[in-house]
Amino acid sequence: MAATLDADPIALLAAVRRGDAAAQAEFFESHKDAVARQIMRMTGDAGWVDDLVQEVFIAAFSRLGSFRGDAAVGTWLHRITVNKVRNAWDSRRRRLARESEAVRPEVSEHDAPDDEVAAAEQLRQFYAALGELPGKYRDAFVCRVIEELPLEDASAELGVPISTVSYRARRAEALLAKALGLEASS
Amino acid sequence: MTQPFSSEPSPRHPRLDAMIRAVRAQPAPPVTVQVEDIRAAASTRSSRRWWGALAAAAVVAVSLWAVRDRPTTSASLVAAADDPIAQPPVERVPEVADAAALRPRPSSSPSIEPLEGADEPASNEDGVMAVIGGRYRVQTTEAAMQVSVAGRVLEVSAASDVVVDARVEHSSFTVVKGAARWSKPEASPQVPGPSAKQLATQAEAALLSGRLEESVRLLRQLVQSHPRGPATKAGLIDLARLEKRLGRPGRAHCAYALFSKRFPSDARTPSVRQADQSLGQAPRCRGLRPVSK
Repeated sequence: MAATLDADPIALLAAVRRGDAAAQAEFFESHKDAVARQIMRMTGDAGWVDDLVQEVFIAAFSRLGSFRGDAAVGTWLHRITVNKVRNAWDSRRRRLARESEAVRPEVSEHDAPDDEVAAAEQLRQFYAALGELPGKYRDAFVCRVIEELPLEDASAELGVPISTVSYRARRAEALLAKALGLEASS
Repeated sequence: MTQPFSSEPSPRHPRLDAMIRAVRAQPAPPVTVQVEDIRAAASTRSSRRWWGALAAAAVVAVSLWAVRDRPTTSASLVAAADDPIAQPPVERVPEVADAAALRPRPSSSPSIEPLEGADEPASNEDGVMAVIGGRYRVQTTEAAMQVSVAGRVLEVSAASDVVVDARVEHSSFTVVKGAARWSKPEASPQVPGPSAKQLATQAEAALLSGRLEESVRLLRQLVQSHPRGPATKAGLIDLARLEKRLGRPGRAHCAYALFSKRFPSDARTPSVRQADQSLGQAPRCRGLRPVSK
């Protein structure tokens, strides 16, 4: 019988490591919604969620042995998710380039998110522009601006110094504003 | 300075701000995948990796046997290493960064090459960011270069050994953690003042390291030396927030008022005016300073 997360998280992780089915199920149930929410915020596409959730937990189950416990499990899963979404984004980008279907977003300054359709369209354009950013800028933007990680955590997650994270996030914002036609506002 | 303080205007475009809020507010979609699917997929992949590794070992063994009497070649080993079955994809695991970056900035662009396994320096329009602890070879047409760390600038000479934050040895330098000695560059009439972006970056570095007054000083310099630049818009808003945070609402008002005066048609101006009004006082200002009536 596996330990429950509430009762003893360390025992639960040990049981997951051993391949205990009940522990794996509890671990999955405890974290799947947070992972799904993160994927949704990063991609804006509900169609990606199931596939990427599966990829994240496959990686987590197979690498739990290397989890050192020096970060919270949630942080560790967050990091795996960022990597998986990055891989998915890069694959899609390569596929679009091959198919010459890359969409360049065009937004009129006078567009306004008056209703749900307009709001959905703006989100689509936002994610299209985000997907076109160089990976290092996109990662920094996602961690800092979308996921609102503190600089120290984003730095640890991305493996670059704090000042680099900060610069990249600002650069990503500038590139996004330009791609969305928002830069000349004065 | 991408994170606004609460109830104050954001330095980013309001429409981008609105999109980001919409992104964050998206509800979590239902997850239909089951843990059994994950276990099954993990098991399949694990066995595929096992058989892949076995196949790779067999390929290597056969290759070694085949070439044992021939001149040495690593072609077959390289082929085995490139085999996607032999080498399952490895996910990049980020490491924890332990220090700030360093930016050499001579008047001519240097070429910087990492040595001894140092991390590749990242480039941006301000220069090249080298990583603390790394050793680099610098090729520049000048004998001296400027190095800035966390917003502070020092002049180092490539002709002498100077141990400060950057140890310079002929055409290479090593970034050393833990600064002990600083020297400021001598004022030179030929050298133009720092650019708006440089000042904004330095101000941010000062803010990140908790030197709020230094950040205020740099932002004021930015606003005064580059009155109309795009970095100045964000700089004025940041300055107003900082002044407010430091308990100087009069100065905060002056920064907001200057923004409204200089950029009346900017998309952020309405929220700037609103924030200004919420300060509750409106002294007369001369530039960025309140003046007594």
